[in-house]
Amino acid sequence: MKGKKISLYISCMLSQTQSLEKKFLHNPNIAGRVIAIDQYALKNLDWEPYDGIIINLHMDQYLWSGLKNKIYHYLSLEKKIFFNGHIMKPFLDELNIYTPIQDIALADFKTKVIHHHEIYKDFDISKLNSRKGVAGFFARGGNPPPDGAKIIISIKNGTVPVDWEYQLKSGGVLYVHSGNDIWSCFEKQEDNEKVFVQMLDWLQGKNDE
Amino acid sequence: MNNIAALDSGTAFHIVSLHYPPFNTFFKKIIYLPGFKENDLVDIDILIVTCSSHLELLIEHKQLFLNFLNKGKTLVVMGRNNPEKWLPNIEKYSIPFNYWWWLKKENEFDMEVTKEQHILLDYIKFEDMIWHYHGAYEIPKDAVPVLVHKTNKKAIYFEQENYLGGGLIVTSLDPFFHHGSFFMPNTTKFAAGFLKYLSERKTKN
Repeated sequence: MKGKKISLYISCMLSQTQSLEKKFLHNPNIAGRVIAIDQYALKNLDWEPYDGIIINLHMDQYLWSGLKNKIYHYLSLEKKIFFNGHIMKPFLDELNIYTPIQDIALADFKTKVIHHHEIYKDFDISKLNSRKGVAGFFARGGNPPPDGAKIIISIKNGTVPVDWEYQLKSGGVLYVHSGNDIWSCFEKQEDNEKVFVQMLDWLQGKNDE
Repeated sequence: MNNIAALDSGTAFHIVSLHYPPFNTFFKKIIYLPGFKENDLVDIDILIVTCSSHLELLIEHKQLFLNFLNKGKTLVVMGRNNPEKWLPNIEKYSIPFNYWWWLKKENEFDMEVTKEQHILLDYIKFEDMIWHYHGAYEIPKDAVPVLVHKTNKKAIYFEQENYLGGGLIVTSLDPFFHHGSFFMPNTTKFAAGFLKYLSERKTKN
């Protein structure tokens, strides 16, 4: 597999594998760069050949948090993990559970860029405020970032971090998006595909070379 | 009071809906679906297959649902679980996903109540049943369709008192997904009324 970078898309159900194939794998910038594997196969799989892991909001979090040692080891190999969803079972010691915004108001959903990040390169972030005029798809609260995490996007006037990147001392990097799967947050499918491509670019270090 | 068990697929929304207030106290037992076994259902009157459970695991465990029904117990199947793939004589009726129905002012929600006097309506206001649904079902011969699609009259919620020796409730509404995702407040009201209804509902045994 040397030379060819492939990320693992952790599929929680067969329908997700089918959805990945139908919606994204026709895109030449995605096909061949990601493969779906069932979440329950993770425990016995060697993750090392893969350059990144993508977790979606349907993940079995008892399973995922139970793999903590394997996750730490994987990250110590200077690998990357992209996590979507609400953390209810922390999978690293540095993490805490998701905090929803109480009595959320429409203005609270407005996104604010704190640090630019390549996954949102050339995107108008205000597109994430709503879909068809309805707010809340992107985020409704946040997974609390560990000390030292770099905040990418916040809501509630910049006070609630939603997207953040955390570099472990061992070298690996965790990106957390505290909401619906990032590739479902844009109104247009072409934007969802573009963010998927840019997520793969980040996972596979395309811009690091 | 009925003893209620619920299936937990381990997603964030299952964990929030089942293990946290305000609903955690309704459950006598919360069963982790990958490890589901017959013994988990001892002393349970009603089993809820919560919204968006892991489909392949439901199919794998289908005999346990049949055995539970055969003992005269009640099975409740919430939205996005494709019961037509793991329960006999259930037929899905595909209708377009009505997620965005409220965006046009002239639209109204295309679901109606067939039995105004049904006791479920004492627990949940019709207005709290409205967000969207995920398809519909053909109405089994001896079932009571409480909520149906306005034009095609297919079931969005039905109850069947005599199903494979037990009782069956099926709906294409998905309140536990949205409540547990902190998205769409009506779903929390629905889940509160529905769990109270199930706790107090008359069952066969």
